[in-house]
Amino acid sequence: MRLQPLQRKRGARRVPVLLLIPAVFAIVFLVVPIIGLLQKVVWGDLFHDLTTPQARAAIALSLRCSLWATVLAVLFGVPLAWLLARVEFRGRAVVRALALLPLVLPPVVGGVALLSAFGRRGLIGEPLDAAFGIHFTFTATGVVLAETFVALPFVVITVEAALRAMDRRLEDAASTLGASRFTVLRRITFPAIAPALSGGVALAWARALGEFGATITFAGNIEGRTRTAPLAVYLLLDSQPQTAIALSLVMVAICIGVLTLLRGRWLVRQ
Amino acid sequence: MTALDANIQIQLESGFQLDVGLRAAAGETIAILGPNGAGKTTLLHALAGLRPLDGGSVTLNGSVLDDATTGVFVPPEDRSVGFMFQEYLLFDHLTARDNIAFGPRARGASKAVAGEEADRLLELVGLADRADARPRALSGGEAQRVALARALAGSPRLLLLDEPLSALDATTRDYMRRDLRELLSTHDGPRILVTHDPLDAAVIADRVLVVEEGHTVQEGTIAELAQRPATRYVADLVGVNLLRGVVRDESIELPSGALLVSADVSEGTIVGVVLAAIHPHAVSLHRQAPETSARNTWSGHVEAIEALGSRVRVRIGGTVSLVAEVTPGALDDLAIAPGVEVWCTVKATEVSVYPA
Amino acid sequence: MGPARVFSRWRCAAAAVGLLALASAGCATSSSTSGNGSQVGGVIVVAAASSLTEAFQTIATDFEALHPQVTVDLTFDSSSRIAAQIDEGAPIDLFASADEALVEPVVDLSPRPATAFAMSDLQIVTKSGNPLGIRSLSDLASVDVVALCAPKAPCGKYADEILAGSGVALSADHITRADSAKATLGAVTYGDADAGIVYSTDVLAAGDNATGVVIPKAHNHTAIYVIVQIVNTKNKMAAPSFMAYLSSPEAKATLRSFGFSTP
Repeated sequence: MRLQPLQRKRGARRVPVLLLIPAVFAIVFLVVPIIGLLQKVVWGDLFHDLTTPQARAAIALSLRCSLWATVLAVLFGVPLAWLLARVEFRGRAVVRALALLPLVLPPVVGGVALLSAFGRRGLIGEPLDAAFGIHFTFTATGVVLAETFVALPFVVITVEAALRAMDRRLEDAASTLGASRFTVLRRITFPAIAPALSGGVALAWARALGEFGATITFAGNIEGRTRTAPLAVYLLLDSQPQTAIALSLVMVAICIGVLTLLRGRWLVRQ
Repeated sequence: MTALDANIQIQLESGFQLDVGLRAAAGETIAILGPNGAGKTTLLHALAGLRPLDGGSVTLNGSVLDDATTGVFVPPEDRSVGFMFQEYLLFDHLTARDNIAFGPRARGASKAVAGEEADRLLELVGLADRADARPRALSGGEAQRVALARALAGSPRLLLLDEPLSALDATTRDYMRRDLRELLSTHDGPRILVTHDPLDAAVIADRVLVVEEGHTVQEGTIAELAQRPATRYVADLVGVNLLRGVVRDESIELPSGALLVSADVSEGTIVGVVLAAIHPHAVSLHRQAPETSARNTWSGHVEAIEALGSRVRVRIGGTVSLVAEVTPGALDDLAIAPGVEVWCTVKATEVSVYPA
Repeated sequence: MGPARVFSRWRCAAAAVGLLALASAGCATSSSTSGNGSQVGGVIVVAAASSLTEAFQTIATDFEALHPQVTVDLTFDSSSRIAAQIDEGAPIDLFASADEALVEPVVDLSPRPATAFAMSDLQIVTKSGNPLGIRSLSDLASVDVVALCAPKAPCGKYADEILAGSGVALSADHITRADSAKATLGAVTYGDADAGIVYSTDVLAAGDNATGVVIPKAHNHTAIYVIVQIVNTKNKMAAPSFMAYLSSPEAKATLRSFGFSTP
């Protein structure tokens, strides 16, 4: 953390106190819960707590499902972002709002919505179950589905913004050099949006990793099958608080790691 | 032999209409001159296929690239057109070498072949030592050369250059202008150069096409333009006084009522509305009413004085507004300053008259 | 809710004090322990086991009608989670638990003993109409997913005991754990769980959305609901009054109407 303006250089502008005080409060507000969590950690038992079968199963499942969800979010989110950024069509504003909906929707509501679509008595779930015996609830696939649902907006937002911000004349230049539309996409467009995409991917992954409400509502809470780390934290909080805290610590560490790696690149153009 | 035959008609959403005919031979460089907003860049985009025609057609080496009536449209990637953009539009994530190799690679050349082509062009533009530099690390002049090399790569059948020198500082611009002519000679197709600087056109191009408000107003060499500028813009461009009037009794009556005498008119060959071109150095300045054989004499006041290389241009306002070109010495001798009264004289033989 | 409350307070202010005196016996008890006056008033926070949701909503409304100056704020969760919240210092006046064991840490410090006020046994809950034809606990072993409460929550603890006692072993990867009885019920009614084990009262509350299957007495467990006052309670008058009201004939009738049995 650097608060350079505090070490006021000659001629540097003074930081207005009116802004500084609430800003410091904001920092304290963000940091204190993390400190609170840290002081609850029983450091001596940390390794043991994280290697219990439940904790290991939860972490493994979380990693597996969140990575799959991230892959799906990119596979479907990038083309959607491209469509929103580059193609003018009726109802584009509506589609954009829908794409961002999971971002603001209470995750539990997302879970209920997923249930009514992909549940065994859902709109799509019922015919799928009847025809192929495919079902998503109480399966790791269901977890992936719930996580993809909440992670998708992060990919769409960041990639669409990058596509809008990029100089489209670069694509023109590439096409005059003989590049087909696919080559332009692959060699010019994607490299140009790569920094934004990596930011979107990291955020989507962090969001998928932390998914709770939609997962427990839609995919349930079955040990080894759908009990991801956040679900385990919630379930174990009253029976094995030490393990719950240890798992929380792991998630905090992962998220701080991701955000540090990004260094705010997803929001601030450098 | 005509390699490029284009009749470009485009209707922009703003209501702007572009309607320009353009023919160029292989190895010929044509400069498109025109003020901002004349439609020069749109013209290049149409030739490159970045914008489809609304009317007319583009034919290159006998094959139709775009035809509004038959609906034929060859997309830019299949046109083999080298395009050097005004702001270069180099790919930031690729090295100079990879920028140049991009075209050959996209057109199917192997990595090795494309790389050799890039090295050859880097050598040609004198940047062999900058092959691995990213565009951000290049100076303006270097970026300009890489952009040119990229446009030349893969031997396109047509070369388009949009203001290739405008992003450079004055010094770089001067030597790049000389180099550009040489570098262009390595390309054997037609070359179309868009510029707003007549000097670029004079040095680099064989022929000039002046476009104003979407239409061709004049075509020819710079010398031809200077001799008989067709519009005020062209006259300003080539630094020539252009007067418009009607022939009456062996002289030309100007809108102000003043009469202009020209050797061309006395021959009695021209009638009606005419344009008269007077080169600034043909305008002599005096502090007193002169007693010379010059038949065109008017008085006026000095409005502005500007340096132009080793000469000085003096703008005079009066019944006939003119620009005169004198030496700094003459300026001193005559004690000419803004606001002073002067007399201008022009010999009848120095007034070039042609139909409007 | 806000305006209604305001209105009722306004009305009570206009009413005679004598009307309040008639209200309940609990009132007299509390007024004698307090030097603050003879009226019961203020806000009490009642945290209750989620299985008490419907019954307590009715009881709280009735209680507020009897004591117009009291506002009862209800919060529902699994008893184990409420116990944990109390441990963390949550500002709760009364704790209605589905498990006596969970009130033990607080009852020692409480000014008065915990009171048992209701009982409920457990049932197998299935989707409406019992489409899989589940008849007994042993049938649960053959369905895909069984919803149970979290092991630490009373309904989860009882369910685990019932299953163990009847010799039915469900593998962990067929059990989805919800955090409370109501959430467990929901996993069956709106979710895709095939069956669950919840309180009989929950099945009754679900109405047409679920069908219950009775667990034989021999293997069943009767949960005893107790209420205890938290020692640091703010409202020392109204809390005992609410506790007392739970043992009144009216409250017992209400509890029975929701399927609970009463002592």
